[in-house]
Amino acid sequence: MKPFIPPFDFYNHLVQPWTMGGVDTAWTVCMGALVAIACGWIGCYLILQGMSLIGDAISHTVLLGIVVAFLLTGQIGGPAIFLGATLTGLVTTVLIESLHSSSRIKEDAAIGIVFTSMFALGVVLLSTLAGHAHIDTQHVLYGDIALSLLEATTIGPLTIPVTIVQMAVVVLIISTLIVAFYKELLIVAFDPQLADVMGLRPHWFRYGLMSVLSVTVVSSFEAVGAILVVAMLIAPAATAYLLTDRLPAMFAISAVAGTLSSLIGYHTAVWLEVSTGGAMVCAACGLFGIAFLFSPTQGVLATAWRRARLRLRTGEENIVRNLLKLSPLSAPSTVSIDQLISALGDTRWQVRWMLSRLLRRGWIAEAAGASGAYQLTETGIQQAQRLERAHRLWEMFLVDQVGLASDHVHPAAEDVEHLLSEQLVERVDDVLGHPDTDPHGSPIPRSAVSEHLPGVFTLSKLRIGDRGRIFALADGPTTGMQETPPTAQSGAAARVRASVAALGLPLGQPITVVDRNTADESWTIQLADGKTINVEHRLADSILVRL
Amino acid sequence: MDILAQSTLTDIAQFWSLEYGAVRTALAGVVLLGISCGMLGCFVVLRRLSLMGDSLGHAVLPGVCLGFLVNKTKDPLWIFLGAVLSAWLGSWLIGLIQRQSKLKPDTAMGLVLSGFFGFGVVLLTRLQNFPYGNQSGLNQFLFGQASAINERDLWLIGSMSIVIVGTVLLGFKELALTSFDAGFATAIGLPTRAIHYSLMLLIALAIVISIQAVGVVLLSAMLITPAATAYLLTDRLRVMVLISVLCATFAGIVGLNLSFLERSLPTGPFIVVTLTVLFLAAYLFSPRYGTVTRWWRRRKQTVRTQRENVLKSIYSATQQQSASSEIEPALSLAALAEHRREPIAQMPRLVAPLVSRGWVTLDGDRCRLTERGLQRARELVRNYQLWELFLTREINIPYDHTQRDAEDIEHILGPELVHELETELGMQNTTIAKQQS
Repeated sequence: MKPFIPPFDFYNHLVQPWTMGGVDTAWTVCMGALVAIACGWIGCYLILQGMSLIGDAISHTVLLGIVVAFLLTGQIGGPAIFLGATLTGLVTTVLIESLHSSSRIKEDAAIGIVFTSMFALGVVLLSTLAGHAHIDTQHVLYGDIALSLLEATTIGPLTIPVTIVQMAVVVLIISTLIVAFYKELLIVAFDPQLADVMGLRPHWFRYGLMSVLSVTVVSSFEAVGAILVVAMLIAPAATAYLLTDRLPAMFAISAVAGTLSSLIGYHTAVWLEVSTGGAMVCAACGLFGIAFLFSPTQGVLATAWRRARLRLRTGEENIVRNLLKLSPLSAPSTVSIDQLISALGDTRWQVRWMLSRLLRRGWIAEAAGASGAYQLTETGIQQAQRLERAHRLWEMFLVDQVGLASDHVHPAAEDVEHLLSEQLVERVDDVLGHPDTDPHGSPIPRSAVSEHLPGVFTLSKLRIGDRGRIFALADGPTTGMQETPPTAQSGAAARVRASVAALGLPLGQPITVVDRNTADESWTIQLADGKTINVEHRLADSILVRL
Repeated sequence: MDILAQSTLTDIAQFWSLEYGAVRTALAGVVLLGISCGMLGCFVVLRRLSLMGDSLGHAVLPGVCLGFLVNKTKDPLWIFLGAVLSAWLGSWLIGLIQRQSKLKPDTAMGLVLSGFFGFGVVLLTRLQNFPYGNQSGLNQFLFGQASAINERDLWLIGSMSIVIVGTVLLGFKELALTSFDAGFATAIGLPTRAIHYSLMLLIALAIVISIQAVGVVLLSAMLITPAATAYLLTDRLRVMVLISVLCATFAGIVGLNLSFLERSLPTGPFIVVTLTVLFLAAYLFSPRYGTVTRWWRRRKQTVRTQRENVLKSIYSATQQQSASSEIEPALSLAALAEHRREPIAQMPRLVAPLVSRGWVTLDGDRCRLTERGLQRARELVRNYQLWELFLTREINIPYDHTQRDAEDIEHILGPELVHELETELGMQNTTIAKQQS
């Protein structure tokens, strides 16, 4: 007795189909690929417009059109079938729309009612009246590629199955339409309102799409049947959607995915002796599964990887922060791994791993003498202060600008400190008027102008009592994202320079900050000769002072 | 033709004599699942899960085939288990794809629907390579074959129906509340998620017991169509459930009967066509929401408005005429046409309905208001003025903007509302008095 899953034989199942009777194999794979490409391209639009299930409905109801056309003309194939199918497709769309717009039936129920009733009617007609047709109720559902290729026609020296010629024409028509109406389709798919405003009539495009869809479904019907067409419509397009954000790339990928699934499906069908259409669908869904798991941007794994990286970075940054807390700059000491574990609440294994990564990066160093104890390096201190600054500024921002209570802001800042970019922190600092303490009264570490000039700060970041010498005037903006274009900036810089010159502050002048006025955001400085000057916020941001 | 009709009749008679065991089990099965599906369908439609039902319906096919593989026979228990598992897996995958990617729910459902079905087809065609698979009648699961329901199937269908009906009846209040106002249900502490998943499980059970009779492809109609029919007929959930159950059962019996007329006709499509006929009837003729009914109501309203407008014209034209001269207050059709600024040829057609109502008497080409006509015309004028007053006084709409609104509303103000308005406005008779002076 045959086993349910026969052993895979490389020669029998992969090579032989091509060496013996290679023409049939080629036609079958070609037919499958053409079906998958045509359906995939239409599927791209269906997916983007959220109409997958209307596609599903039409691929069912087209049967009714085929059967009615057959009953009227007595033949399968020919223009009557296409006409019948296109009409049914349009009728389906109109019926669904009118059903849910003219009554209290919701769209999902409308789709369900319309497609089941029309499909059932088709099957009833088929099984009672059209008993002698070459349509079999099972093939209606999942088709038979081999049967569909029986009838052949001769074009020049080639004998080509009629259905392949048909399908190729359909693919040609679809690609012509896509090229011709690319821009319009793009707008309709992504921005229906804009399309409406531009007078593009989205619903006409919808009907057009539905007609093309019906024609495609009819031509694919014999090969893959009503329900498997749905898979061909959705699976390759969904695969492509997960892999790219660009429409042309989506078309290309869905075509490749469709062709691949035809090839894989064919060989699977040869191997397991099963329906080729079914195997193609499984292959297409398999490809989707791969994209779903492994897509570099959207995939489950990529997302999980990104999330894990963020968690790791957060953990590492928390270690650095805790090191600074446990061994403050005023009273430096070494911190043991147990202290860190109890402070962080992570497992020993996690902490060890993160510590080893931090050691390699040079943010921390093992304390001399005591093993298992650590201290921050110079870079580490800078990083810890950067985080502390982000944290406290964000707390300040939440209290000052958002209006939260000061005892509610810590958890929010705890999360956000890892995400804020340096630019954004500087911007927040500027908006808040460069505060020196957070809502809880802890000092906010200040940031130097650049990491290459550790002792140089803008005047606006100095604290009362700070002494220093005027170092330079800043060329550009020193605080975050100013939204002025470069030309305006240079103009502004020139004005700033002029105003600073008007203040009479020569370079190298020693100064002392004597007061910060929070109300009008100005700094009062005392010069060496005892004279005091009031500097407003905008100028203070441009004057660099070396402490 | 006669012979055909004759044999059809005898077939139907034979069916209803219930002589054959197969007919009896099939009938019992169809009635049971009509009750279960009709009941659950209401919640499916209200919660907009229709397409979920469709997806799960298709998704059971591989489970059915795998269940068959266990014993290589159509053992209802294994097939049942396989189908439930596969439906559960399908709904889980739909959720997963929605959560983990940017794909829309409909795409996720379409993928699962067709992917599972494709896998099912692979299994089905693989099974047909084997002698045990070829005669298995697994194909009957595609479009349903109620005559294949045997007694063991019936036991399963019966017990599952009891589970479904029992659960729905016991949890009716909770199900209703979560279907209509999920936010409120959560707020008062109902476990909405658990209720949702229990409902999904019940739907899966209903789907699984229907595959034998209706088939996987058209299964969703059994859930959606009867409930949608009922939804068009009533606003009350209890009544809706009742109507839905009746529809599903009736369609099941009729479909079964039709498919018995000839050998080997699938049952599912016939049931679905019957369901659709019922739905169409409700869609067109539902007393409240039917399309034809609503069109008819609108038409009646238009006719009435026009009739009453003509009455008003006659009234005001007569008033003007009697104000200017002291002659008998009868109005010539020509004067009416001039007053309405319409061609005189139309006047007889416009006046005729008034005459038949006894509001106007027509004497040659002169019409005269009867006592009843005069009364109705005064009512209309009064309604108009009351509404105008209401709009200017209570809603603060400038006087010169109220005319259109008041003209529309004067025809539909009932006596109660008029009374209400009078009280609201402190029985203002001033405008009436002004009109009469």
